[in-house]
Amino acid sequence: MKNREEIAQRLAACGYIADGELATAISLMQLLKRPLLLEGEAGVGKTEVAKALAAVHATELIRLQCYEGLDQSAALYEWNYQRQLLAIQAHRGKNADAIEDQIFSEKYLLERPLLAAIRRDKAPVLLIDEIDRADDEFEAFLLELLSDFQVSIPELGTISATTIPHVVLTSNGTRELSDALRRRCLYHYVDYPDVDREARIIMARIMGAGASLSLQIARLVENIRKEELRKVPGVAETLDWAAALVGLEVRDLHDAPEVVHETLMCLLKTHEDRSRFKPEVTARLLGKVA
Amino acid sequence: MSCCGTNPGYAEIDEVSRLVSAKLAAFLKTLRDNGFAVGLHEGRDAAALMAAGYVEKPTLLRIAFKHLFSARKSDWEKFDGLFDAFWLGRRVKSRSMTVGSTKAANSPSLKSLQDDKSEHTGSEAATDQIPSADDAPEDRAGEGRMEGASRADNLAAIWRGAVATGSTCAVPSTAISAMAACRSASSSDSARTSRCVSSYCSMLPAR
Repeated sequence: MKNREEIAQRLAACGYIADGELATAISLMQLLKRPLLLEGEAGVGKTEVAKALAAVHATELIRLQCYEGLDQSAALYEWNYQRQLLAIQAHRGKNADAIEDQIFSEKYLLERPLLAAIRRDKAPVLLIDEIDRADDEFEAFLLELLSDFQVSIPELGTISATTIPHVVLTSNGTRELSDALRRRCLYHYVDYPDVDREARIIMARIMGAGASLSLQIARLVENIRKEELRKVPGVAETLDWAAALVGLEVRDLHDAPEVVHETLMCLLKTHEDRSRFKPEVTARLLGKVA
Repeated sequence: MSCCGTNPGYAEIDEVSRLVSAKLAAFLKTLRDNGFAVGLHEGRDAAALMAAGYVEKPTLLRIAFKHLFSARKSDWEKFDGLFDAFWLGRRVKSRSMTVGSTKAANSPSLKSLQDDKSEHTGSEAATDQIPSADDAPEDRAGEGRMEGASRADNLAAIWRGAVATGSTCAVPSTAISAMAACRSASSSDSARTSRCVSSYCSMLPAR
């Protein structure tokens, strides 16, 4: 992939409507062989970037979902202990060194996402999702992989990448990431899309959503985001809502204000937000939508 | 003078590389002074981007540098202002220091390129004012106005002016054409440019 227009077109063909800056970031990823750190609010489409990138490259998506307590054994590799025990039993009485060499060989190694990502023949997309949920220690552990694309396994030594994966990290910003990690990555802040792009996303993702309805939905969602909400709806919620409206055969939001109000549950995910949105509020916001 | 060797035929490229490198190194220093965590690795990658042709497409260069040098949302939000202040002499809202942005590059102030009454008084300029339409040279409107980066489109013209008027050494007719030649000649030439920048970057004080 050479330029950002081509990248944007190929992403669009896979259902991801990217802006010019994101397309540039992806082209830089490939040019500089650097990971891409995507930061932004939940639901703005960060994870989808990795999925679309895998589709564009027709390659495997390897996902590592981060969480508090995530450690090396879940992320990188683990020894197959049961199999090792069986091997020890089977070779009882033989030379101990030889047995040890055998049970700490590739045959007994269980690949986890990070190791799998650097040992594929065809470079996969490695998605390290919600890195801000992982501990500082795990973040530090990632540094070797992200800068040198190699990992160290004490029993086997250093394993270098067969192919360099396309690495995408996402963060919701719930915790400040270290400078060391940030400096190894290209950075892109994913914001809520503007009305035009959100309308195009709806049309691309929801079968049966026409241009007019998509634009109305995008405009209303934009207005809803400006309200004081505990949980601002993301693109994922917009798509859910659009799918609901299309499923209920709504062609124009002004023709079905009750349906619009009743289906706002797709957008508003807390009791506080839902109770704040009385029918009058919905009608007021609907009035702003041309 | 050559910073990468004395092979005949490379003199022009070396001279352009030196000017571009010094300019870029000064920009890296400006970023550091404004809280960006910019290291040698970023400088090397920035040089690689310029040598790869981004310097010919200033709108893209700005976006590419933004991805490369930003590490957090606050960086992301202030980068455009710094880029404009440094490369285009445009005032920005937030206080930013464009330290060594011009003299270090042995080129005239970019602001002075907009205004023949050069009021440049030193290598350090604090830009802490709210931008106004008057500050920007509208006659330099670039071809692309998308994403608010139209002024960056004029970087190519500024490069030419800066190089043509800023050096007492023999310089090529345009920096852009030489950069293009550098890029198209061979990969080793691009590597030379990158090495030059890395060399300049290494002379800057580390944070």
